[in-house]
Parts: sequence; structure tokens; C-alpha cells
Amino acid sequence: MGHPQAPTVSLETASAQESAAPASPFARTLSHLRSRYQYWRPEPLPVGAYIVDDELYVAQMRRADTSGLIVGASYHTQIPAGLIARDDHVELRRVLKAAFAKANVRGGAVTTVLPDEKVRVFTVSYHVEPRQSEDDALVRTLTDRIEGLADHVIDWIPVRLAPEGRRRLAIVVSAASGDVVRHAELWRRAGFPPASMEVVPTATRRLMGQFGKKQDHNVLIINTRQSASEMTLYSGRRLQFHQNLDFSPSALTQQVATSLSMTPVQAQRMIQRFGTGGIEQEFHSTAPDELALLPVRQTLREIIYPQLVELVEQVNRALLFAASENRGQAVEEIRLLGQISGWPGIHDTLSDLLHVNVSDFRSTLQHFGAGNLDLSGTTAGHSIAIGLSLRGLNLAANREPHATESPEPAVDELTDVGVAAHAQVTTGRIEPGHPLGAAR
Amino acid sequence: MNDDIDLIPPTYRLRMWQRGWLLRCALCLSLVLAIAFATGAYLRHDTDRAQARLDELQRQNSARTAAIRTSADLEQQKKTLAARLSLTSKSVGPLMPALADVDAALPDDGTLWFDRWEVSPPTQSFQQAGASDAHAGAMRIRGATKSLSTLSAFVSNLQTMERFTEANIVRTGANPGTRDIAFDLRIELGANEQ
Repeated sequence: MGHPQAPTVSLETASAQESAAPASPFARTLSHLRSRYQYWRPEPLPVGAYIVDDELYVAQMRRADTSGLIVGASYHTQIPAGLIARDDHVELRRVLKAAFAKANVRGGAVTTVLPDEKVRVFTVSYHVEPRQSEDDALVRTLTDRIEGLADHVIDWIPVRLAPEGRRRLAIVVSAASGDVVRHAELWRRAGFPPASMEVVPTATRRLMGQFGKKQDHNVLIINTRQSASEMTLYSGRRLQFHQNLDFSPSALTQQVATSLSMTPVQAQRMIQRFGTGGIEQEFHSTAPDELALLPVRQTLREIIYPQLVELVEQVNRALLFAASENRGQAVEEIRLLGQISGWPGIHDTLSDLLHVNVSDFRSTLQHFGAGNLDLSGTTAGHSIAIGLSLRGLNLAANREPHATESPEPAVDELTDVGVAAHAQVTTGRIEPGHPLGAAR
Repeated sequence: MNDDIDLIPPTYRLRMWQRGWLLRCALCLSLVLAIAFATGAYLRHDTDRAQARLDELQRQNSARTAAIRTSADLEQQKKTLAARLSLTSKSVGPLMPALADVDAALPDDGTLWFDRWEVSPPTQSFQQAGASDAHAGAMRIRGATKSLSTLSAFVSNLQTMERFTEANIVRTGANPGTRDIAFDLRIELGANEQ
């Protein structure tokens, strides 16, 4: 490629692409008939359903005549507290039916995520010995890191491929088999059997892959969760690394509550109402209303500043690592996900501290035509749901016309690079009780 | 290049796939069985209905045949009676007023149908019935009536009449036609006392 790519409407699913070029005349006829049928009666696009912090986000893309895919439905609603933890499939069915009806979602394969507390995402470095398969090498490494590996479902994305004997890198997602099956059964009994169950980083990667202006556009996404936060580095559409963060939004809220002698709920409301603001923003602020809020914002910022500094130190280490992995190319922007992404001014505060542009996914949603939709709730929730709904879709049509695509490097090209400059992304799955090769 | 994460275990997918197909098979089997049972029930009901219709037609046919036969018999009997009456009208002329008297003496609700009159020789006696020496002879009257009491009254009346020395019911029986009781009377004619 390497040249400006004209926007072409190509909306085939990935599975349809894989089944291209039928071998026999019968298969060709079948494929032709199927395409004719799909022309008249298009298959419903996948549905992304994301449940986090007792909120449900539902999204589905829609085929547009000129611009490929746009967001056709995006909906947010509160759900009863602890619905997933209680395994209440009756209530879940009621909530999902109501949400799908209000969002005007047409039936399609539902993609959802496992609750954060039940899944682990981590980066693994491993060696591949001569005449040893990739899977064998990885499972040998994971046996030491995961206790009771046979009772876990593991999927992984190789990040860095290297010749035999060299250190390789993969992002591994693991969860207890029982938890996965229980969660899948909950959705199935609710009447919405999940077509796939993945994690937040892969959902956001699809968004980033579409939004990135060039192949090696480096973006760091910080996903803040109540239990444990995480950050993921993307280079274009590729995951570079994933790391957990020692940072919790609830700790910030608690710090504010303690400092101002109020309850955590009051502190949460106060932060969401006034925000933290940024120094640069305040410097240029002239509106009377804004000026009146400056003391409150400064107070809040000073209270949470120590914990933000700890976050910034961890992020800075990741930025250094990213530069080393990408031959000096710096991270160009940081996106915030999770609860704190909705705090007014937090982006400016972090931008001041990190000296990197920090934003949320609002611009990404606008890119997908979701600006006209009612996006109540958090932008992050809608973004992840949309990312989930993009699973299996070929979004070449949505790539911006000026995007510069570089050809995927062959594995051989990567071998002599001391620190791999590119990542060859494939995937594999380790199924408990099965040899690795058989499960792939 | 597949670069997606999916945590659903293939074994679970296989189980769901098997369950889905088992459900489909069960549904198809249930549908086939339901169609078979419904078809069988409909055919059985249709057969019963056809049999009932056939029985009804056969019954109607039999009734119609019987009615036609009865009608034909009655017509024949009427013709025979009319012929005999015409032949013997002169012979039985003196008898007719007597029978008229009998008819007049019958209860109002009684009805007698006389199908056949047979007058035994010597018919000549009847030709001289008006004379005092007219006697001897016999006649048979066959007919039918609705009630036995009417017939009994008729016979009693005959027996009380002077010209009839004896009237006996030869036999009675059910008439297959519209008339209920068939009778066969034998009447002995005596001398006219007048």
C-alpha cells in the first residue's frame, strides 16, 4: 500500500472474507447466491453490550450509503445493582430486551466482555526453543505464572515475534473456565447467547485502529476501574503492551471526602460537578462563571494531586517503554477510559502533568457518526460498546482517506531488530485439557 | 489475520452447538409427529364421517326402496281391488248398504281400510239377497286399521247384524306399510230375515 487509500465500501464480515475464492463450481454458486441474498436481506450487524458499574451500554453499527459504517444505535441505561454478580438472568433478560427495543437494535450476534474482576490481562515474555511450537513455549511459560492453568481459559495475542531462541512477547488474557462458562450461561439463559466474549483492550483497539491517522500512530489508553486500573499501548491497530496500574478512582474520591469532611458520595458529586480543570485552561479563562469556579477546582486538584502524580510516574515509565519499543517514536496521545474520564477538566489536568495530549473518545465517536445520538452516560462506556460491536467487521471503508498504510512487516524483517519495531499480530487460544495446537 | 480475543471455550461452543442442534432435531421431530397425528386424526374422523354418511345413504336407500316397493304393492292392490269391486259391484250390491251401516256404527276415530273383498260362491245367493231365501255364502275382507279396538268394534257390529251369521277374524298382523294392523275377516252370510 503506502499510498493514500481511496475510501471503498467494503462491508463484508471477516468470516466472509476468509471464505472468499470458493474452490468448486458448487461453492461458487453457493457463494453467489448467498451474496445475492445478503444484498436483498443484509445480515444484522453484531451488537456490542457492555456492562460496567451497574450501567449497560448497547451499540450497533449501521451501513451508510456513502461512508461505510456509522453508529446506528448507541444506548445507555442504569441496571439493578449487582445484577451480574447475582446471576439473575430473568432481570438481565428484561433489561436487555428493554434496552434493545429502545435502542432500536436489530437482532445480531452479541459481543460482550467478562467482568473486570474475573479476567486478567498481562504481558508475557517467553522463549521458543528450536523445534518447539509457539503454543508449547507459551504454555510452558504460563504454567509457572498461572496456578491451576488447566482450569483457565486463555487467549493471547503475540506482540513481538522473533527467531527461535530470542525473547518473544505476547499479551495474554486469562480467566477461570467456570467464571467464563457461568457468565456465558447467564447471557444465554437471558436469551442473548454471546457470540464472543472479550476484553476492553481489544474493543478499544478496533476504535483506535479506525481512528489512527497512520499505521504507527501510538496511543496509550488508560482505563480506570474501581478495583484496578490498566493501561494499554496501541501502535495503529496493534497492541504493544498492557500493564496494570496501581490507581483507583475511588481512592481519589475517598481522598477528597476525607480532606473536605464529606461522604464519598458527596465528594463524587462535587468532583463531577466542578471538576479539576487545568492550569493552562484556567490561565486563559475569562468567563465570570469559570472564574468563580477556579478556587473549587484548584482545591480539588491540590487534594488529588499526590495520587495523580503516582499515576503520572507509572504512565511516564510506560511512555519510555513505548519509545524504546517503537524506535524512539513517542506516544502522541493518551485516551482516558472509565469513571474519571467523565470528570470535567481531568484531561487538562493530566495533560499538564504528562505533557501529552489527553482526551477521551468523544472525537472517535464523532468520527463514527455518533455525534447525533443521545450519548448519555460516559463516553468511555459508549466507546467500548461500539468497539465491541465492530467485532468481525471489515472497516476499510471507514479509514480516513489520508491514512498512510505501511505494509505489514514479514516476520523475517523483524528478526534483526533488537527491540522489535513492529508487531505481527496473530492470536491463539489455550484450552484447558487440550494441547495448544489442537485448540487453535 | 485473526487478532481478536475470545474467551468462550471451544468446548462450551461445541456443547451449545450440540444443544442447538438437539433442540432443532427435537423440534423437527415434534413437528413431524404432530403433523402425523393430526393427519391420522383427520383421516380417522373423515373415515368415520364417510362411513356414517354411507350408512345413512344405505338406510335412506333401503327406506326408499321399501317405500317404492310398498307403493308399488299398494298400487297393485288398489288396481286389483278396483277390478274386483267393479266385477262384483252388482253381486255385492246388497252388501254395500250393510257395510255402510257398519261404517256408520264405527267409532269416530276409527278408520278401516278395505283392501280386498273376496266373495265366495255361490255368488248367486247375493243376487237374490233381497229375497228372504237368500242365504248362504261367505266373503273375506282384507284390510288394515290403526287400532285393534276399531277392528273389534267393526266385527262386533257385523256379528250383531242379522244378515251376517258369523264374522271371524282369520288373522291379524303388522303391516309393513303405513297401516299398522292388517286383518283378514271371514264372514258367513246367513238368510235375510226380511
